[in-house]
Amino acid sequence: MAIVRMKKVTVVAMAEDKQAVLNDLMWLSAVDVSPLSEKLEDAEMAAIVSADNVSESLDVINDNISLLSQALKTYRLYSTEKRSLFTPYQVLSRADFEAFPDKEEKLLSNARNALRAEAELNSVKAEENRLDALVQRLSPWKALPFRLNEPVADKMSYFFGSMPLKSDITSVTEGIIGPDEEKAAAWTECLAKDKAYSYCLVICLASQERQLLSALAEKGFSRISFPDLRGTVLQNIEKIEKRKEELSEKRDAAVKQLKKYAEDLSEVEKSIDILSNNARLTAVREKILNTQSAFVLQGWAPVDRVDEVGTLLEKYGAFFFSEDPSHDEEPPIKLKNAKIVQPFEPITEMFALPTYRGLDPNFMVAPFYFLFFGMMLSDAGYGLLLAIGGFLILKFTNIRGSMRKMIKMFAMCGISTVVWGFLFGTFFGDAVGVISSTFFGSDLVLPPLWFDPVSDPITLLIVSFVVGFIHIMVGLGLKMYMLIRDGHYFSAIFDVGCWMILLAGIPVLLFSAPIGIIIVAAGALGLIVTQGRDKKGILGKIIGGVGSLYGITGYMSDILSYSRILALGLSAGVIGSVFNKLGSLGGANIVGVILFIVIFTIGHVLNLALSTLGAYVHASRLQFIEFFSKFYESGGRKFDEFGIQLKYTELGQ
Amino acid sequence: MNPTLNPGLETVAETVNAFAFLESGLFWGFLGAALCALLAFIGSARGVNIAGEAAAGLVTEDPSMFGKIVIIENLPATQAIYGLLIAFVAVSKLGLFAPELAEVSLLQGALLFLACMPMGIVGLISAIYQGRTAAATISILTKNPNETSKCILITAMVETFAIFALLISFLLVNFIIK
Repeated sequence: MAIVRMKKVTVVAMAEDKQAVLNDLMWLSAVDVSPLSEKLEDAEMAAIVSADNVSESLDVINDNISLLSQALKTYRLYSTEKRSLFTPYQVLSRADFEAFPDKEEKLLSNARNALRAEAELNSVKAEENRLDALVQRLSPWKALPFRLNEPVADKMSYFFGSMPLKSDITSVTEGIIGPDEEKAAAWTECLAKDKAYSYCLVICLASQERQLLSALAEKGFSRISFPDLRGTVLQNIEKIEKRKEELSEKRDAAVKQLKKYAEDLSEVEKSIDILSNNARLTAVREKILNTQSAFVLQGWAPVDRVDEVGTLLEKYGAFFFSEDPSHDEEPPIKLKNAKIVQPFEPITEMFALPTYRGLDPNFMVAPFYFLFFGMMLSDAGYGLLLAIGGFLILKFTNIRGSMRKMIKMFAMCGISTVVWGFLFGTFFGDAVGVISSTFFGSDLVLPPLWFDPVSDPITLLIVSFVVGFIHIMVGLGLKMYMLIRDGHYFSAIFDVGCWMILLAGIPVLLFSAPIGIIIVAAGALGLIVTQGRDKKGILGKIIGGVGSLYGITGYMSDILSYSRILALGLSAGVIGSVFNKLGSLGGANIVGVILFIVIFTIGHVLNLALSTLGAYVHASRLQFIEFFSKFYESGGRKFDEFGIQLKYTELGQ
Repeated sequence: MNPTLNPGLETVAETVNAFAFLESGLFWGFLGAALCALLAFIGSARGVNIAGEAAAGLVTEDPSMFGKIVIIENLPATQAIYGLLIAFVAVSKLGLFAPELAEVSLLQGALLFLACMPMGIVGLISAIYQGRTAAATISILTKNPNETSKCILITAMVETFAIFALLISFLLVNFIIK
């Protein structure tokens, strides 16, 4: 439960040690380096100090990264090593970083060659496709007795094309054509046929060619020509086959080459990680200031790691000191929570990080989120799937970072869901009852350990309001704690305490009206007397005080909002039951069993997905809108430590 | 009363007779259930459609966003589920899955009809509004691809009111016929 305390660290060291100091700091991963470049706006400062201009060297590194990333994509296709969620990360050590410059040139030139080979391969593939298509178009004309695109004889002409099978070509070639109604003088021969077309050659008088073509076009004839080809069709096909053999050799060579380059796969993954960190190491130089012989670096470090930074710098004889943040400074935020609370941190981070002098709410978000999620999904079967599935994913995949935290959170919430599922007697809806009554004729059901919300929704509604009430009171309690901690005792008692008394009286009203009224009245009186204290004049104070009571509507609507727990819990359970019901309509026979299995599987997968999303979203909402509005001061900047960050590998010795 | 409809409708008496089903509680109950499902389904169809058009635009630019987008696109689908839920509870109260239909008075039937209306009407309208919100948040994703959860939350805020409608409809349906 805490926001890690920070100290501001300042380092001054000799310019010749700069690279070594920065490198060591990166490996220490303890400092969030603040940019000092804004100091350069001051002309006096600018006269003494300067910042490095690193954009050129950064460009070089980034170009190399993008070259290698592109090559990596290709390598993944051709490599024998496969990468999946289940592959463990490769280990990267500091020695790899030091050895990298020797390998870099070789890897980069391999990557360039591989990309070239891939481009070559693509052009080969494109040509192969083109040739295949051409052969296909040529093949009906193998029997064509002429050389393509060469005149045959004077006054004679020929053309060829496809004709739909249902049209009769001779009706044109042996009929009357043209405006002068002369008899056509043409000879036709069908050279090939397929399912829809016959492929016909027409030899005719050159003078009649055009008329014949237009008459044939009306019957569905479409002329085919190969304007780029010379020689007979058979010669052409032979030539193409020869070319294809050449291409296939080229293609094999390129693939072989690519497979060879792809052996670099793991080296390239390592290199990209190394280069990205080199880029960070270079970029950080923009944030520090140089004089002629020294440089100065400023940043934030967690209190418990400040000493490590000091020890590290001793060997460079650097000047180092640390100080507590002054009041107008906002140190970056690093959260430190118990292991069991950590998985819930992404929920708070999604809203916003707390301010440095605020409060890390995760220790309270975690239990309530756990509770609400379980009540909203409230199905023992779904809970088991979430918990077992989640823990299996954590055990067997290499997912890391905030995604891993989220999966852990869902798995933990699955446990809560199982508990509430058994309390409410739901296991995949009412699956136990439906299966036993439909297929086994027994009246076995899963009895709820507490009560059944479908037949007794009002009880669950009350339970929802009660947990909502507790949630809001805890929120007010945290506000009170923060005010007392910061020394605002009046605000703590009057602004928060009176409301807590007033709200606490409302449930008491239900059990014992007189005592409840006394408590509510005491709270209300406190508010009326104190809430106008900043206003001028006695009238202003009274109006301010009475007006503040209007705030009760806010608290009421907040508490009513928790009724969504009931609604989502019911919807998850009832929809599950709807699918069970639909599945059981087939009866107790083999078809019925198959029907049940199909509908059960599809229906529950759908319901699980929708209800889990609903529970995730609305449990978050109850934290953000109802809970955080009571006390949370957000707006902190995340602690962005200057350290090694890896995408494809993990750090090792 | 003559249950068969006379196509001629010759006398006023016969006309009245032809509409005798209006006096049946079962009719009003089933009408409520059917309308509830119908309105909520239409709403969800339109809502997902609005979100889907925006989603298609983004997926054209960046196909890798499909997985995230499809969740947001489907948020307005929940109203259809809620409508289905209320309709289902209503018809099972009317005895559709029991061996015989239930005995329902005209008043009970009419009340059941009213009870289904919050879910039907709010489902229709909120799904459409939610679709518009979803479309708007999808345009956030075009600029910040990592803000999926925020987009989901913004869109889900609209659903709050469908959830309240579900709640009130469920409580009403549940108490009209025990």
